Amino acid sequence: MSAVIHASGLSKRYGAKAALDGVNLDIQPGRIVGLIGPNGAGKTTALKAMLGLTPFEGTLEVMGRDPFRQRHELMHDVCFIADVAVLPRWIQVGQVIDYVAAVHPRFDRAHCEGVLAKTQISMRQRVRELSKGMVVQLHLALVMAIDARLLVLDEPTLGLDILYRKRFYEQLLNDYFDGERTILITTHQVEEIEHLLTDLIFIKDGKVVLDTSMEDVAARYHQVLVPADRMEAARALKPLTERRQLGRTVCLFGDKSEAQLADLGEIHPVSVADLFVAYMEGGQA
Amino acid sequence: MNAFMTLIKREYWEHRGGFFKTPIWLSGIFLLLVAMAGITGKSAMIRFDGSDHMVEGGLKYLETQATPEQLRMGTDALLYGTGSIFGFVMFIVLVFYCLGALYDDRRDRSVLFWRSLPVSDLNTVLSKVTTVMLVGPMIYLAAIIIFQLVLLGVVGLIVMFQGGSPMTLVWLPAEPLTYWARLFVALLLHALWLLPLYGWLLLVSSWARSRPFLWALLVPAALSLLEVWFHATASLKVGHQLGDLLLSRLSTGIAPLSWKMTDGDEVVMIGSTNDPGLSTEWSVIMERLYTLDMWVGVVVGIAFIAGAIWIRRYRDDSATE
Repeated sequence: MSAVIHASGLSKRYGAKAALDGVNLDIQPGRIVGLIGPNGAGKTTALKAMLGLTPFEGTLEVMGRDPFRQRHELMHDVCFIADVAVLPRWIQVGQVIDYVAAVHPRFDRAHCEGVLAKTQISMRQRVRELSKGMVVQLHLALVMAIDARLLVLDEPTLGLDILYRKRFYEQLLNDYFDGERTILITTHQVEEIEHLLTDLIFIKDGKVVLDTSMEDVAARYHQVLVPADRMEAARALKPLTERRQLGRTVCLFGDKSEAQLADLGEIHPVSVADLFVAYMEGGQA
Repeated sequence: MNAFMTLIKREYWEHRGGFFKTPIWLSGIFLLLVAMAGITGKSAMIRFDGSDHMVEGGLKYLETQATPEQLRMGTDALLYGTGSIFGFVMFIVLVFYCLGALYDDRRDRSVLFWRSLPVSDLNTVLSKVTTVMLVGPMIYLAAIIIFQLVLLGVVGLIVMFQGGSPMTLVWLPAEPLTYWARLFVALLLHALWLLPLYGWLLLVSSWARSRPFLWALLVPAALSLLEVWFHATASLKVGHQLGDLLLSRLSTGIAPLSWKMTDGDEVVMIGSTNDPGLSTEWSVIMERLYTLDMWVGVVVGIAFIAGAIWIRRYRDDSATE
């Protein structure tokens, strides 16, 4: 099957500043991809381009379509949750369900109502009367009832407390993801989505600096707790980053075999957050 | 088609205040005023003969002296008068509806939700145009009909309690059906007449990043001013013509059936004669359809709406992350 999202030389400028600078991407079906980058790195611009919300230069195809030219056709196959604030505040829960049911041919009303029945949300409530957590529950219930191929989540849990954040991702993974759909997520809270990602894309200053699968991350990157007397040997292997922790130094290595690292100290798997810091601060790889 | 109907319903849900609550409030206030007038005395009936001076004897005079024609003019005044105020309020509601139609959802970012659904921007804008041109006016027509049925009943009862015959004085002479039929056509023609204004407001609503109301006023005003400064030749006075196109339509009456007709040099204000019924004959109502002004306005209005659609469709609204 061909890529769900294919970008080559994708660029976007706002005045003199390049928000996206020659991005190349191929996202395959059935993947859960984290698009991670610091503020202003181009994450949101990339998502906007994919959703047809902004014109761009270069090639970008989503489900085989040009998103900017064919936005509304594309939205049959793509769902999108920006942060929690985008549901219209004046609308009633029942009305927004009626609306989506009428305009979206792939919306399963019973499914949506079933999901909502398990929450505190009632049909006659207005969005403005719901808490932030309930709004995102409602939005997720709407989206989960749509049989779409691609779900794009842009900071979907921003401003939510930890309980709602956990429940959001649990629901997404258990009740929505079926191994065929594709999910693209951007978030600051990397730790919380790390375990559900299959692929990882780092973006910095409008460029993709890392595009890999999580299995690859585990195979390629290691952290070693190096005691002070082994530091010289460790530095000889050129760690990507070093940081002091409780009297020992944590070194992050890329593309070194476990055998090479074993005598330096205790080996730990690397977290996405550590890897992120290494890429964003170090700038090498 | 079902989806498009839902887009219209969405507009109604969002603007239930202007399209549902406002006419109810208006009806309530009117009925309260009529009831108060009925309780406090006969003054409410005095001018029923259509003249400006007080008539001694009130109801008794009307019952014995007034011609059927005079009585009809009296009830007409009641219908046309209240109907015009509904029309005026509707106009205000629709102006603010237009200004917010393509702006409010961008301001609160819900546009990201609406545009995440498979609805074309063309249909979104057309649903708003349909609401202004058709749905709003028809809702107000329905409100006027219901209100005036109650009004005629209440006025009849007041006449009865004051010793007059509601049949002879109110219910038989009144011709509400004629009025409503004329109003129906007049509302549609009026919407067409105001299309450039509505189109302009929708265009500003689609374009403005803040304060659409101010921009809607400022742009024509600023253009006109610049042209005065630079002594633009008549053919180049875009701002002046734009302002003229929008404002002259307001000055000719914003309530349907009360507009001014220009007939050669003579300006006739419909509803200004003593007999509103006569001056709103079908031929007078339809006359506007045959004027060049009307169709120039329609073309300009359509161009504005096309601009609004284009901006909604192609502009990237959020230049920052």
